[in-house]
Amino acid sequence: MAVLHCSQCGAEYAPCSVLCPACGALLPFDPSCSLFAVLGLGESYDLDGTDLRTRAVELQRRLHPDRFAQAPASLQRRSLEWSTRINEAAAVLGDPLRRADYLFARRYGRSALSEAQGSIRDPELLMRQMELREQLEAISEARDQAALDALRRQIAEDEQRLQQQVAQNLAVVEGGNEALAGALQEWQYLRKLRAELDRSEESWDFA
Amino acid sequence: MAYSEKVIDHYENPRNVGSFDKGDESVGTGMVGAPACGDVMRLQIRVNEQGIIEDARFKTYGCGSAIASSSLVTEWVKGKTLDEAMTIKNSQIAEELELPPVKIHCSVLAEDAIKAAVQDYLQKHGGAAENHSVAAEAASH
Repeated sequence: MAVLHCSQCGAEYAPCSVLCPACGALLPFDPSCSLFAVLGLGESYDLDGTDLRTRAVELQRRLHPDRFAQAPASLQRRSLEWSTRINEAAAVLGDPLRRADYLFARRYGRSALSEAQGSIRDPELLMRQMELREQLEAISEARDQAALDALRRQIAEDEQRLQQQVAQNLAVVEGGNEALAGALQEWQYLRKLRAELDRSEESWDFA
Repeated sequence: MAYSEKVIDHYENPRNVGSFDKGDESVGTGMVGAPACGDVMRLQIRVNEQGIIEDARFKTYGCGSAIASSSLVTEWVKGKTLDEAMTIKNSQIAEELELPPVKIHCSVLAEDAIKAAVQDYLQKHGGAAENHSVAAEAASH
């Protein structure tokens, strides 16, 4: 790997560094850097959410537009490019499902959750999701608060189970992409279901 | 985003909602989903001995465009042969319902659902979709 040197002070810096470790100068933007790399993190599903936020906030503070108000246009653009990328990194990596899908895409070259992924046909998964939607529909019609709370608990348990499954799969080098994609998709479905459940409950209050 | 009048009509008065017995030999069931939007779509066809789709049912959990797309397709497939049903394109659905670009994927889902239903029916009758076209052609000669 080529050794990189800061154009301001000549110090060496690691690839994907945002700021020079020696003089703090803003380094050239590199669009090929992963979301993990821009925050100085190793590429792993396991991460400390507090550490992630601290890193992102600190970098955003150093990249604040006010600090570049008097800087040349090229430097202003560079700070904006880094800042946008760091925002994206914080949003994607800070969400356990999006982080998993990002790692899936890094590994298999495609997202398991984007619209471009197209339709899925896994009958077992789809049947289960349809049953859950039917269940929610019946609960909403009956305005059965106890049943709604039970369903919410069940969704939370299922999401937790899927997160563990996804984490285990991502921890090994060759986890098998079909099982992983299926788990990510089911997890995504459950999130949508949870949002639907919340909407349904809110509508009771006003009806 | 505003829905077209046609989408609203299908959404408010969905055609052919419901289900057929999945185990029935004359029924083909297509189940498809789009995880990105949380949509689930089930589309069923009832096929007579001449290979004509006599009736169709659907059930869709999703946005208005997904519901309208599947409702429209159940209307379209009635009276069609299986081969004709396989030629329904999502672009036709999108055009009829005046779907905006961000909702095109809903029409893709409906196209996939009808294809899945036809394939399920053909599988029950001992042939894959590709074989069917060949068989139908051979039979017509």
